[in-house]
Amino acid sequence: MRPFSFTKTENAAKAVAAKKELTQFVAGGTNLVDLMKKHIAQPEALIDVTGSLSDKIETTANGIRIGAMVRNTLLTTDNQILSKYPLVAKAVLAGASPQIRNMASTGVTCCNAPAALIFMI
Amino acid sequence: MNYSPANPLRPHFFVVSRFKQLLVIFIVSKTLSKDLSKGLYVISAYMTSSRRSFIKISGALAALAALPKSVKALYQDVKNFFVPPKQTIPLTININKTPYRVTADTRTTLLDLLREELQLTGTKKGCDHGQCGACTVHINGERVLSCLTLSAQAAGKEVTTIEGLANGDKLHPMQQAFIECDGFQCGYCTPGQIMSAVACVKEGHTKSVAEIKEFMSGNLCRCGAYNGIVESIQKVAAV
Ligand code: FES
Ligand code: FES
Repeated sequence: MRPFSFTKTENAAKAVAAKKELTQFVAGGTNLVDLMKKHIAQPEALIDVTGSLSDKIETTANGIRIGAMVRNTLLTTDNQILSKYPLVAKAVLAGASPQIRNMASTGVTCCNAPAALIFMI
Repeated sequence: MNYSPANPLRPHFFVVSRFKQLLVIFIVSKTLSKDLSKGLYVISAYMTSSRRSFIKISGALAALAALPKSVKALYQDVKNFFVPPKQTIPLTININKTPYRVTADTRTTLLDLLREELQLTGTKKGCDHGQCGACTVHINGERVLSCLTLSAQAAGKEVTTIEGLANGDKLHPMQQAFIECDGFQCGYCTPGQIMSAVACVKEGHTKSVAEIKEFMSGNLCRCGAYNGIVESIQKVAAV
């Protein structure tokens, strides 16, 4: 792994303001830490955003709002999801392991770059 | 088409040499332009990408070290480009109810911190990539993989490892059940299995053998002690 600096931010605005060219945000770490170990991601600075983003699931007028830091496990146990969108819970349960689901955030689950075979050639 | 080794029309030959040409052109142009640091960064990123090139760079840097003092400052700068210096961070982590104050390299995973710095070697390293579950520990009561958790991210949290389960000489019921039900053979996966099993029971995923197997699927056992593991979990869940 390439050495990097590590900071935490309390809110999204500060996290975005602190981002420079070779900075990466880290949430659960299940994706990025793996990529860093394989020298695929080589950030110079890491910003821990676990404390910067919402980890709540809320019912809104049009549906449900899932915070970016909601861990995968919560998606499988939350009553709002289970009663209105049970397929979401089923889909999450079909992936990864309980340990990973306890770590992985919804935000990154939706936009991650998993260690695809192409990286390892 | 003739695929003899010397044939430049060989698709592979063409692709590789073209890639190398482009790389050299890119590095040279970056280095010659004012953007020296960027060029060096590209070289370093390219060269630190494998163990072999790391050894090559180390060798080259060792040779540089023989130069007189006046050149040493330049050497330091160049070295920092090729091998960026490590960065450390002070942390306080509660492990098994004991607060540990450490200054860790930011790259240290919780697994390496436990095993290499704190001599808590009960937690095992299987794959180091989040695939086997041997490194499972609890953070704030939830099972997670310590090989994918940076120590800095565990700061201020409550970590429980296999060493923290027993109460003095009295084993945790799950540890006892693993012994009684033959839940292991070589024992390498066992600390991770037990930590995961404790959480599995706490989460209440023990209604059927299929459910137990599904919720223990993050822990692999090369010895195939799965039936004993399921039995141990049923035993503890029934209490
Ligand atoms: S060592 Fe962490 S999952 Fe294999
Ligand atoms: S007991 Fe040997 S790997 Fe599980």
